[in-house]
Amino acid sequence: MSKERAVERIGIEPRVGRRIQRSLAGLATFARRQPLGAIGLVVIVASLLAAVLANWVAPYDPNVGTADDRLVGPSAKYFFGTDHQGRDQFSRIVYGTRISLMVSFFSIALGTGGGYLLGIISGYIGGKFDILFQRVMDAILAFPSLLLALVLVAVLSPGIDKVIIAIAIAYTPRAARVSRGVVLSLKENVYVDAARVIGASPTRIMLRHVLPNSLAPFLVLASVALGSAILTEAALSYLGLGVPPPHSSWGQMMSGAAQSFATIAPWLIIFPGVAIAVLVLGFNLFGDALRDVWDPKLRGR
Amino acid sequence: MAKYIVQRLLLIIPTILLLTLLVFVLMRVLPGDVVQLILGDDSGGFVSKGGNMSADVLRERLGLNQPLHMQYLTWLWDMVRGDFGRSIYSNTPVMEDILLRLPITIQLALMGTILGMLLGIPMGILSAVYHNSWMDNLLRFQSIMFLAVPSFWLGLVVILAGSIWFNYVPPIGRNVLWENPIDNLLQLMWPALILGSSGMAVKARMTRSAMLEVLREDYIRTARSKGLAEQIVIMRHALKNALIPVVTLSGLTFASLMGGTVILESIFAIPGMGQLFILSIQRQDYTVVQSTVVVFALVFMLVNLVVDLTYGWLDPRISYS
Repeated sequence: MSKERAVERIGIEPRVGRRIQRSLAGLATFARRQPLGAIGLVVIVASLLAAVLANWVAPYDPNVGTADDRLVGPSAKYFFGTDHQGRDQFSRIVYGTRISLMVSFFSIALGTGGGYLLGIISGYIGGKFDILFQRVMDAILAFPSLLLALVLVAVLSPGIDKVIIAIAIAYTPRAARVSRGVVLSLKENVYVDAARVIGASPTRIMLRHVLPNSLAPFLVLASVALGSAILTEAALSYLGLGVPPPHSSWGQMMSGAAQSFATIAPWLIIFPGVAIAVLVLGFNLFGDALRDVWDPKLRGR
Repeated sequence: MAKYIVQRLLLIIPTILLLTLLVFVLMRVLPGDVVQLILGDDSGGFVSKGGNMSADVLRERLGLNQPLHMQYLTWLWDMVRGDFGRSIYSNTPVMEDILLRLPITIQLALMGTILGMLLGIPMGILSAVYHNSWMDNLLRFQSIMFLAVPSFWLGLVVILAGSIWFNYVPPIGRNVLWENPIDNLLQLMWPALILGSSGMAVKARMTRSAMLEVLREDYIRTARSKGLAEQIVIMRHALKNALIPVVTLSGLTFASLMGGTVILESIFAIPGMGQLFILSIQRQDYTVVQSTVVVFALVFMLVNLVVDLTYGWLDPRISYS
């Protein structure tokens, strides 16, 4: 009671206050039960902050170098050293977080999200459409996803939107497969039959019954896919087929000049790679923890 | 069994048709005219060297005057006869190049798969047998670590560390296993280990969860109560059953391994399919690009078939009728 009154005094509506409290308590439980998942979440939130607040976090302009400070090793002035143009590596990595997160979020929202929806629809409708859809997905799945993304980027010509589309298409079939399986098992549930019997339309059944229940597996899939999308983007950028130069992206930082100077300035190769690994690890740990929480069958494995 | 194989082979056909159609459409929506691209090209391709072929002649030669569906069917029929056309860049038959390069890439992917299994499966067994111990946690953490590290970065670090501390440079050029085995293995060892390391992580996780599942089965309790040694229970009774999903997975990850070879071959200068693929994308050599993509997909589908067939051997309960 007194807590509620305190919340009221601060001026937040009690319901909202309780909800905030409950979600904070939920987070605390999550952190206690899934310490590794909590570490993952911290990494993700920290990267998000670094990306949003890059202007304030980065000590230098990522694209302007200091001519006198070329290829300086890591120091208090330049945390991660400088490159052959005297640009601060730390600032470039901070700004690179933007590209990595942006490309992976949009490509997964489009590819994994879209694929997941398509899989649900296809699994729900069934019949000839389902068979044809599966064949198309099989055909796309027969390409390694990096290979497919490479061809698509080459066809579409470079650009950040093209990279997003390419990764999205490469990630569509896997999501469609998972969600189709989920729907096929959800369809067998009694409550779906019940809804059909009382005359609910297929659209309503899909939106009210099937979709909400398939959300948990989607979030698990998406959080792991986010990690591998970051890896794919880095590989594309490393090969020079990713995000074009004015932006600093982690993969591209390791290619070209960085490689020619690598033996005298190993930090040019080391730090961008570590940045990629840490962020991907964050997504993987978080995804693993989500799976443990939502799929009790797998708990403790 | 024979009937099942034939059925599966027939099922591959619609997938291949769709797949080639996809590649064909992709290559045709390429922005810009291929002919103009070749004629305007001064990167040293044969046409720019050969000089003065007119746009019409070139168009005729590439078969671009025919209607689209005829172009597709011609391309398909030529591939069936083993003719992948000629490279736009070097004018050599694409088939020759692929035959030279494919064995190296397959060897690399196989080495990666085998190394991944050799490392990953024992780790998974240890993790499951000592479930929730410090060893389990350590092994799980390192496998999740390896999944997060980009393989091309590992490649760069290996080359960097080798040249800084050990004065080591991996052999370059074409080294075939049966011609100069030592150079071949020296060349492929590191990229195979790097490929294997991410496969190892996936396989360790899979083996672990499959083993945990199997160890709860009744027949394991029976085996233990019969008084069999724990080693025999684990290796003979549990492992053999737990391996089934791991084998499936190894087949499926073979595709992503082939993808991984693309970038590692470029880093280690290995003249395989992956390097050819990247080079021809950079040279906009679309006949080579479309052929390599089709070959990659074909290999993947055949591997999947082989994986399906090994089920029967691993799990006699499965019959193919």
